[in-house]
Amino acid sequence: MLKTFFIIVSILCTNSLSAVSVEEASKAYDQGDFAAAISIYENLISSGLRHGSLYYNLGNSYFRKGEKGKAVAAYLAARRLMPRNPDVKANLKFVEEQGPDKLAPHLSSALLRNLAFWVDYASPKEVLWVSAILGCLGLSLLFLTLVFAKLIFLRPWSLAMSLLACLSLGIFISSLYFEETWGAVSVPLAEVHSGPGETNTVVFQLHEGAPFVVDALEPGWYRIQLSDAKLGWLAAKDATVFLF
Amino acid sequence: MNYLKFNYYVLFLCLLFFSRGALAGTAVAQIDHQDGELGEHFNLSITVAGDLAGRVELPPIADLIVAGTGTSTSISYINGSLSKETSYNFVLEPQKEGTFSVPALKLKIDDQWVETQAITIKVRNGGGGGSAAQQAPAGRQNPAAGRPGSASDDEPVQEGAGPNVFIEREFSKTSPYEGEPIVVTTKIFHRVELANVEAMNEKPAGVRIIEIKQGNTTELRNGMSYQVLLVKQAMIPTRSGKVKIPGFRVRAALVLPPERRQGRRGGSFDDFFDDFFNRSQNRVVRRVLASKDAELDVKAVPTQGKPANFKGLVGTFRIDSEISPAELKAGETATLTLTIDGVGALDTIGNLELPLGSKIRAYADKPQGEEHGSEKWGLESKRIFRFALVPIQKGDFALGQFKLPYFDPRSGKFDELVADLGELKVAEGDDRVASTPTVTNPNGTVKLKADVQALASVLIDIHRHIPLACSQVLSRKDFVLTGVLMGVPALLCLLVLILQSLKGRPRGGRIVRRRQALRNFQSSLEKLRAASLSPARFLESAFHAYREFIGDIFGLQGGSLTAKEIAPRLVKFRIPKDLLSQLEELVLKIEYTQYGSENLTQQQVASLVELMQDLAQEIEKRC
Repeated sequence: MLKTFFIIVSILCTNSLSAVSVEEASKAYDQGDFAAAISIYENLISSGLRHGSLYYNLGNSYFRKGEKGKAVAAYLAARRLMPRNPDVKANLKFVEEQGPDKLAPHLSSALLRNLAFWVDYASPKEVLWVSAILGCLGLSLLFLTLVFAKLIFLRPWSLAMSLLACLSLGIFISSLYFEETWGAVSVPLAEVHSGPGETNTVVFQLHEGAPFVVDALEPGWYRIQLSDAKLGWLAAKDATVFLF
Repeated sequence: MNYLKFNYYVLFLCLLFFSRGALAGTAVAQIDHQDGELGEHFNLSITVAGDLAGRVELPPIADLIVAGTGTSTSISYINGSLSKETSYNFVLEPQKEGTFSVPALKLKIDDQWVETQAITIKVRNGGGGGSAAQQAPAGRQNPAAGRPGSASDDEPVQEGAGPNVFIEREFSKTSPYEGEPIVVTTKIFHRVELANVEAMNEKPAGVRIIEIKQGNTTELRNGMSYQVLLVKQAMIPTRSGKVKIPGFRVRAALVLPPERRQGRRGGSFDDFFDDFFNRSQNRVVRRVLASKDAELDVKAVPTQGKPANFKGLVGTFRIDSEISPAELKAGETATLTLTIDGVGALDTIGNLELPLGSKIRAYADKPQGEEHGSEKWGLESKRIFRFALVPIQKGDFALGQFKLPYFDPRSGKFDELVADLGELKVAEGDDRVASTPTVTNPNGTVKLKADVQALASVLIDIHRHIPLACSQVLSRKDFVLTGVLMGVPALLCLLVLILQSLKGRPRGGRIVRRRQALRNFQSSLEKLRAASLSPARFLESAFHAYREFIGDIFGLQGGSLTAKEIAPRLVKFRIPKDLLSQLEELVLKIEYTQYGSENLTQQQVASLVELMQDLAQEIEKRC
């Protein structure tokens, strides 16, 4: 009991401290001290707080500081958590348009990817909760019809909801499958190699802010895919990727 | 007799001696053709019969390289004797015209030294790869083919790799001005099928490259038809001086026709065995092909006559101007749009400055641009500049002209883009302009927030209130909570189902059965009504249907139930007493009318059946 109480108190304290930090970051941002704002947002994120707005604000701070590549990476991370947020979309577009590499921050290939259109509209967490609520409603109705025989007329509804829940769970699993980890080049010019290592052939070059999907990881290297389906290996030092 | 026996012995020994001689190892050198053209391959085959000590190696021959090697062994068992024959194959590639001599090779076969014959090859300059390839027999059509069977090996770069595959590159201009787009046409000629063509070009320093188009076509070279893979690019030199353009490099898989076995032209039998042993399959070799390096002599824009406000525009352009609305109140915003388009790059302009004076404030939007490759001109660009114009006092303002100098490489002279910016008629308005909040964009341009929002071209502000308590990332907590959310009702359902199955039939099933029984009863009555029976007969049948209904409700054969049997069952199902007494009354009435002497009227029967129906519905509801 005492332990639970302390946990609740510590959570409340953490949240109130975090709220103070967000205010401090906003103040630093308004005063033009973008480095301080970045530092606070990064600390909040590294402390385990995961909210799209934190990444979004971090993106704004990076951009104001002149670190366009990191800004793109932060916006892409924010988009992953808040896929429908118009601010994130607008700022990402704004920053992307300033880069020399005209690469779209979304993959436009693959029929399966197009069929899984909801990935662009809902985060996996949202899909999971929708399916859980639908499942709970469906099963609760089923329970009621089993206990109160007079409610038998609700049984088709309960079955329909359970079916929807199953469908939604399927969508959730596919969301996890199709979910893409996006990052961006954070150095003025990065060389993309044919394999994970400097000795491999340079297949193409990317400028700061170029978005990519992380396809695979090797120590110190990302295998990346671009919106135009190009593949290659990029040194992790040349890129910023926010992994959740 | 002894004399004859002696002769037989001599004959046997002679035969033994000669047969031993015949069985001794042999080595034969063969070339598929001795006379050919530069670019062709010559297949040298050294066939060894017997056990060879060591390996067959060709001595180095000047300007004749071994492009590939291979070995094949055949073992035959004829008339009880086993013989082994091994062919060592060499693909020879002459590097220049002339006569080449492959010396006799000394080989140790079956412990005896055997010598092959020397081979001479004459190579002449074909004057064109195409004809050479045309004359070449099947199996060595492609000089770029190299080693047979080396399907996955990347060969070194081959410039103009041979008559069957080569690259040509053409520049529309080799001494352009800095910033002047030129068209570069690269053609990959091929007479063999190309697969997995992959460009390996590094971005050359000093030029910007824009893809124009890619396509396939057919062209004649030296009287031969080639498939051509066409790549058109625009190159825009970004600095003056000598600019080295590396050769166009592609890595491709060449699909070559199957290689024929040497020295045999057996017709359909060969083809059959080739097919049978899978020798007729195409060979695939990977090659890196490249055109020659080129050099551009990029001229700097002349300094003579260069305007002071020249922004590096090189090309041929035109400008359009539009202002909307032209009439407004002081403090309101009009949008001025300047559109520049033409041949050449427009990305060097940066922000434009308008000479509007102090009575109109101008706030620049982020320029929007597009550029695309042009087959004719190399590069066509368009750039749109929008300005939010805010007049701060009333009056009629002529905005004057906007001028932008550019260099026209075709005429070699500087010119000027001139746009008439139009007029603004400004009525009296409020003076909120000075107090309008401002934001600063990273480019340093001061913008009015209202205009900025209207033009939608600035970074949207940070989020001030973040609900940090609710994490947006999937965590174990989410899985646990959603699991509980779905698991609890699922467990409850399971529990109820188990309990119901332990008690008997599930209740839901009984309800369905009850409803079905009522429906059956009602449909039976309707059928009886339609049958136009006598009243007594109708009542009897209706009562039978009623008893069936009762029986269906309890899961029994209802027709055989008597009134005495029905009553306790109904009591067991907690049927209220008033209903029970009504039921008993009904049964008594029916039995009385059935077995009584008086004849029933239709009305009496109808009222009894009606009562029967009412009771049935009541039972269905209450059970």
